[in-house]
Amino acid sequence: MTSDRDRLEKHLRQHLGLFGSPSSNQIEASRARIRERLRTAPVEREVGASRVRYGWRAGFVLAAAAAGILLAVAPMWHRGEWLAIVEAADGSRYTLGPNTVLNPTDAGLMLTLKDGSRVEPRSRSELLLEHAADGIGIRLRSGGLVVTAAQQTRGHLYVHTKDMTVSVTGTMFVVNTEDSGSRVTVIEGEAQVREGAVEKSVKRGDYVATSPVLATRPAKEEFSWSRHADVIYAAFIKGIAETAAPLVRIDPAGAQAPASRPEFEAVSIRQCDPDHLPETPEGGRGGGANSFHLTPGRLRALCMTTATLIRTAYGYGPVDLDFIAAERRPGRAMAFGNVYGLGVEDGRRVRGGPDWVRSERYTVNAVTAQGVLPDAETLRRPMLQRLIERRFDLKAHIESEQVPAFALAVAKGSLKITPVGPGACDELPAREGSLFMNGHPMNVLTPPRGFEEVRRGQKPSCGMWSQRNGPNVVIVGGDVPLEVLTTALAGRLGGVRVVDKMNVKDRFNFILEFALDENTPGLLRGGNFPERGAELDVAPGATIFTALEEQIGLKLERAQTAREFIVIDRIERPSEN
Amino acid sequence: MQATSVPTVAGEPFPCDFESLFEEHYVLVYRTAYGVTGRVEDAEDVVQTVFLRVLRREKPRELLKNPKGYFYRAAVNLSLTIVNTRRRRALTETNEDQAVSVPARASNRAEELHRKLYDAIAELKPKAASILILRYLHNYSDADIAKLLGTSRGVIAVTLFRARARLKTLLAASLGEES
Repeated sequence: MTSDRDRLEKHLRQHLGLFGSPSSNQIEASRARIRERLRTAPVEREVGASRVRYGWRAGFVLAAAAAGILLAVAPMWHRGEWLAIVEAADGSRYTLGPNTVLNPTDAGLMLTLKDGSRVEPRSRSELLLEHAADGIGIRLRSGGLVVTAAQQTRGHLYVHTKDMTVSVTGTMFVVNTEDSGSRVTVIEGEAQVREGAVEKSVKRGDYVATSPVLATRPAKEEFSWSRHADVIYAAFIKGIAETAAPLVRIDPAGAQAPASRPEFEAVSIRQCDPDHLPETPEGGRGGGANSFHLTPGRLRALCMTTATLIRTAYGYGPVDLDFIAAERRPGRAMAFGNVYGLGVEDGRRVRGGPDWVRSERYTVNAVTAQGVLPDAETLRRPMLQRLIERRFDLKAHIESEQVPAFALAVAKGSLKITPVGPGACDELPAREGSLFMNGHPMNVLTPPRGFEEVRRGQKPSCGMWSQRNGPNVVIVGGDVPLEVLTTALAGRLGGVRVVDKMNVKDRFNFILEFALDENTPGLLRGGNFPERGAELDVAPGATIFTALEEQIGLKLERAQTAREFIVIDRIERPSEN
Repeated sequence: MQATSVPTVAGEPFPCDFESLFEEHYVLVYRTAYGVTGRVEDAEDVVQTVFLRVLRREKPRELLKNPKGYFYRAAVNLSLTIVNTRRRRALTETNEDQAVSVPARASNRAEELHRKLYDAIAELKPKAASILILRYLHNYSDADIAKLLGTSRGVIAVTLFRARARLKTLLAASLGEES
């Protein structure tokens, strides 16, 4: 009985506190935001936007009258019109007429427009509905909306912000507007976006923004507040994948190659004000200064030092992550749609040149010619290199130096595991958009098989998966080459590069269990999830060195390896746009 | 304590007693909401809603009597409503894509269990849910909980006992998987 209770209490403590305690910075940042919202929240309107059971027209009028909502109600009363049914998170509903300001304070509100379109406003947004010449218009004064526009044979749905207008039919899109500008992200279908006199068509998986700050914000953040954020994100990623499918690969040997070295058609480079750099959003989700974003045909770097730009263009990461950058695998390449926080080059990877290369920051926006859609790596590397060479007049070369490393080699007595053939592992279903490593998806829909089951004789899941067993780490491999261990071990060894000296090309199934001790500090990681399994009564395993030798027949030896760096021979501040 | 005067124009400074209420109870409400929902956005929504209610209404009797207890309970109830809303929407609107919610890694499995736990807690009586969260999220003792909620230690002990028993039933499957 007592042990049952202890067990339950242990689980309660462990899992109720899964998200841990917010940091004091987070608490203070939220406090400031909430105070501002409370200070500026119009209380009467607030009450009016609260829930009214079975409102419909009569109920809404009563509620509005009782609460003093700020309505331009005359047209609605006189003509008995409504343009939307508003449904609150608790299921209560009421109607909304034209020119009625809606300022929801609670999340989870959903509007169903008269034309069948569905609109989810972000809490604290301010919007109103109006008649348009051929449909319904939404004026979004502040905040954000997720809009699923109904398919119409005639007519459109319009969303107006202060600096752009979106017209759609049968489209799903997200609109956000704030002080710095507006952004439209198209999830499904296609939207016509007009900014001033310029009108353009935005396809699914792409977006358009009137401010560079908004342009480099991760797509996820545009709708992270939505109750359907996961579903929207999956659709957005699918859109990216599909719009990327008909890309015209720039290949010098190919008939469609426009030039021997692909270049951007239009480039804008602006210096950033060092005292007013765009802030990085909380939670390590990318964006802000030092962020880098690629979409089909477009590159954006926000307030990055020239050294960081050069490092990125030459395909290198920071020296501290050298053990990963050394692996030129597809999984490490950049992909469309993600926002990468690239940090600030610290002078170890890019050397030489004047000081401003490491201090002055620039925002770079570059687009390719119409119909020229290179893949993400072409944009990031040869095209960005060419851009820097032309606009910064860069001349640079690569040098290398010797640094301490580990070598992973076959131990005396040869390998203790045997190669496997096809069917030796169970393939896990890939999550949509997942990258593949060694032929197996990296992001999967079902959990990989546990090491206990594999030890009992079941097939491992394909790929390489790390699990905890009390104070130990267990790495389970299924149909993978042994070289995959180099990166995994490098991370566990604290970021020291591990060089492959095994000369083994076969694929293997294996289980490697070793203790987490002073040899395996790992990399510093964010998040505050509890160490799973740490509470189990399991004895510490062998050290990583002994475990490799005893369980797989490999050994780690101290070694030296070459590390490359870029030397700037000549560079100038960027030429005028 | 004086009665709260409700501001009528956006942008006016807070009434002074509202200011002190906010400063005194903000952290507890925020930590509670964050602990339950696991999302900054939701935690901020909860805090804003809780304090807006105070701004826009006459003060409830309980607020005058036991402000800390009032704010804590309001935070728990609203947070659980958000958790419940998420679950309802996930069930009704992603039924064709169930796989999206299937955890992929150990941390996701822990999140899944966390979600199940709060789903189960949301089925308890609000008072029991409040006590459980104080005990296991905030690590309050029985005496501290009794003091905060204005009741006796005996009531807390009995409520905890019953809540655990109910949770055990609700979670039998999940805990079994985890062991």
